[in-house]
Amino acid sequence: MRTLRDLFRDYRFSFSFIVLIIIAFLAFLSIFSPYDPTLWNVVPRDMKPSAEYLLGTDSNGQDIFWQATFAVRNSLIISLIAGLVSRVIAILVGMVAGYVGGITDRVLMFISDGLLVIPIFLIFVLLAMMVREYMNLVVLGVMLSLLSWPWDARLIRSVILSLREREFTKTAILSGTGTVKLVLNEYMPFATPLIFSTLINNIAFAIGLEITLAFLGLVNLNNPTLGTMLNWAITYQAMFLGRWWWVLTPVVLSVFLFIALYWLSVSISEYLDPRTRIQRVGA
Amino acid sequence: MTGKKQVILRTEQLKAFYILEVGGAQKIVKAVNDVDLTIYENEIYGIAGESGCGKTTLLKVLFNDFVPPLRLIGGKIYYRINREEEVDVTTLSPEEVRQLRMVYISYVPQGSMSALNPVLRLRETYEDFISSHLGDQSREEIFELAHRQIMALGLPKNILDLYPHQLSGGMRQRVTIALASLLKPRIMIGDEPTTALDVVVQRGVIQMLKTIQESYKNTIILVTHDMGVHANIADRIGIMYAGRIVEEGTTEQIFDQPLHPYTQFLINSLPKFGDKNMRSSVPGSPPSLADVPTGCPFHPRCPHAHEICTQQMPSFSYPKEDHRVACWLIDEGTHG
Amino acid sequence: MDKLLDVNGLTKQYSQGNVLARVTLTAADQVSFHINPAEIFTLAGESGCGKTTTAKVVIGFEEATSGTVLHKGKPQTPKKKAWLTEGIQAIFQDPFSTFNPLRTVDRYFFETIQNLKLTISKQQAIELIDEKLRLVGLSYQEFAGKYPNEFSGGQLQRISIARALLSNPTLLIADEPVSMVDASLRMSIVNLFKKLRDELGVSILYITHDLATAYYVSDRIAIMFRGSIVEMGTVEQVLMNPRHPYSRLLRDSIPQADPKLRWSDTVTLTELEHEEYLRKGCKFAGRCPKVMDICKRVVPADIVVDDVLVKCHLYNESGAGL
Repeated sequence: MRTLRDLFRDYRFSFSFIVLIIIAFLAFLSIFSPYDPTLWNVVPRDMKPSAEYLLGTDSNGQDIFWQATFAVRNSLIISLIAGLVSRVIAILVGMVAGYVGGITDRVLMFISDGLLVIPIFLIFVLLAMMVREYMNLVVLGVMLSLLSWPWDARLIRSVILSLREREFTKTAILSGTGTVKLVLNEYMPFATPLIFSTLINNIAFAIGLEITLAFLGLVNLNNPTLGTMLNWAITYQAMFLGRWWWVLTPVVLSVFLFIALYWLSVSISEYLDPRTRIQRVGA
Repeated sequence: MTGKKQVILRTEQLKAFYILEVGGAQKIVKAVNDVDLTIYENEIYGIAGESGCGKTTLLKVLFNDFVPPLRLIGGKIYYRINREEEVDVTTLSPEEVRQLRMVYISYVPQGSMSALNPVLRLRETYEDFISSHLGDQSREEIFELAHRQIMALGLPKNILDLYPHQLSGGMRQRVTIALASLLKPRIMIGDEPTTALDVVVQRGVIQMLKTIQESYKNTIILVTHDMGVHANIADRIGIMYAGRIVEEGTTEQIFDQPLHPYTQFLINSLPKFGDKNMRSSVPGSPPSLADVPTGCPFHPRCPHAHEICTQQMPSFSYPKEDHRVACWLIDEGTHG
Repeated sequence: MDKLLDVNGLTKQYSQGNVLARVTLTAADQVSFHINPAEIFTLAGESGCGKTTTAKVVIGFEEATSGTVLHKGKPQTPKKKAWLTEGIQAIFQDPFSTFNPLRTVDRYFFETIQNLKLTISKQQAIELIDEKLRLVGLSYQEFAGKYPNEFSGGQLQRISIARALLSNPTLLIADEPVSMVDASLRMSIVNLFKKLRDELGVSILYITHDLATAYYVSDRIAIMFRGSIVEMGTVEQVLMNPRHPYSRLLRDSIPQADPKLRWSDTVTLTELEHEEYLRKGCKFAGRCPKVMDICKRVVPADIVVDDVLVKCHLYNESGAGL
């Protein structure tokens, strides 16, 4: 695993790796939660952090620590779904538009640009209000993915467009390689850093969007996520009433998560960048 | 050519390496390895060698352009700024260095195509350039100067109104050279100025350089792997191999009596027009500058290599006063 | 003798500009030539003369606006992949871009073999690759598993030729193969072409602006200028005794590696490239030392003088030439 060793040399990667391991662990802990997160009043309300209630309790009567494990878990699931689904769409659209060109390219880009230009967020808010009751993690994830594929599709398309003019494309064609294999074998290595870093950015974006929507009360507030925790905390005026442990928990977790994701994205994409990769390759 | 010429640029035991960090390990590329050069006023000095021998780095170093990972490891570089004074430029401050640029010494990089700002008309690039180096003079005067120069160098009259992309590669190259010579620098350095140019355009560029040198009586240092270009324009030639100068002499000496086996190979590998006899390239490939062979760096490819060639780098012998060569064969009086 | 490649009246036009002002650029204008088996034919000229456009059409990467291209008598169609069916391969100018820097070079060889079904087993494939590599002066050991940046430019170009030879082509199109290689290494590549012609009977369409190597290696040559062939014949005739003023200029501008043969007169290069392209009449009229009035109005016809084709008014009916 020379790759991992090389990556760990970058302090940003090490930091984010550790933080993400911790957060993933927290998410994992949710399995062992002694309390059902959707129930109220399972523990005394508004208790300060103590040995019994590690991060205190909230005004709904939930243990904040265990609530947080669920919140982290759900937020991660939503954003992973959002990120992966949007990757797939972006890659398909970008590669087809870039390589095939012509009418196909125009149509696909028209759709993609349309989604970029229309105030999607407002439409999204509308949609969210309408399906609020039926919203579960997956639905939310897919909805979020629809917001983020257009930008990345265009990025991938630009990479493909420039690669198409390179001479090794001609060599591959002269070697008899078909279109699909050509795009996958020749171009993907160039697109991978882009895909990977946009994946991570996407995940961060999805988490952020979820928090925003939850904050505005547009999601199913019974599902514990980082955003909904924050929403409840604000609703109950936790800041003014000095119940800092309730507000700080989701905030601190989110901040760490964002920093970790950002640094992960930056360090990995630097590592995978074809220009630095070429230097490492061979001699 | 009699009469003692003044030295205008001199290097002493110059060493400049690239120190790279690749995958945690350090890689040292010895691009300029113990180079002693003496360059005179009013001459065209050519540096010849294959790709990867360090000649581009040598030019950057002569221009005093040390950008990490390129570092000065040892030696000195002297410019003669006026009659008596020689200045060691490695000790100058960045502001002093900047002032010397373009006015005393100018540089035409390889691939000049990209040296011009693509979103500005040439007129604006000229303005930019002039105001940053000659702040006070009036714009009209300078434009007069630029215009006259352009006409004198045979470029089309309306060229200043165009964008770089409207010109062909050769035209852009000539504009870049015109720009570099605008302020009449004492030394002009060109890195492969004719590579990738069509043959007639190449001739035009070489002509332009000659015209400039004849009218300003300055010094031009030219780097190219094309010996044909050197034959046409250079007064003296230095042959570079693996970061070192291995032979140096006047153009006639180098072509009539090449002494170093590498020089002989270089010259014999060029097609002579009108001659269909079989010719061959230099065998093997140049060494990587990160992994230079011990002793004389040419020994792996040299048909006359002796034991001593693998152990020790030969020092210079002077078969003629202005012709020096670094080869054990010459030392011993044998000649392959 | 059956012609290997027969190009007739090949014309390629590009439309440039935007909705408001369109300009039609004729990159190749009525280009006609042929190549015989086991022959090295050079298409020479400076950049913007149309030689690369012609090559792209001959390989099949682009479609001609008009004119025909026959490979061994069979016409080329847009759908046809001549490199798979007609035994044509190509190598290009920049050896460092010819291969994907992020993949090992041998992958292209294995893919070619697989796609064209050249062998049955991997062992046979390796043998075939080794055989072709030895032809160009390399071996499988020093080649396997390496990335492009581990080779020099000259080596990469030879590897590129080896890849092109895998399918035993009859025609190899070499587009400026030595322009980006050091002058001292060009011989090794160009000697290879001679070897391919003599030992394997491969014909080569050699595209270049370097007349020195063109003279050294070709049998016949055509000189192109701004889209048209201006002179064509055997290399002895055209280069030793050039008739068209442009051919003469080209030949005289070759830098000789001999200080006693320096240029004595100068060239003028005041015209912009695209202005020359759009001229009526002979495109060289702007800088021709022998220009006449008719040259600026009428496009010269193709005239045959002593087996050499010349496109110049100097050689019109009266035979008033030089």
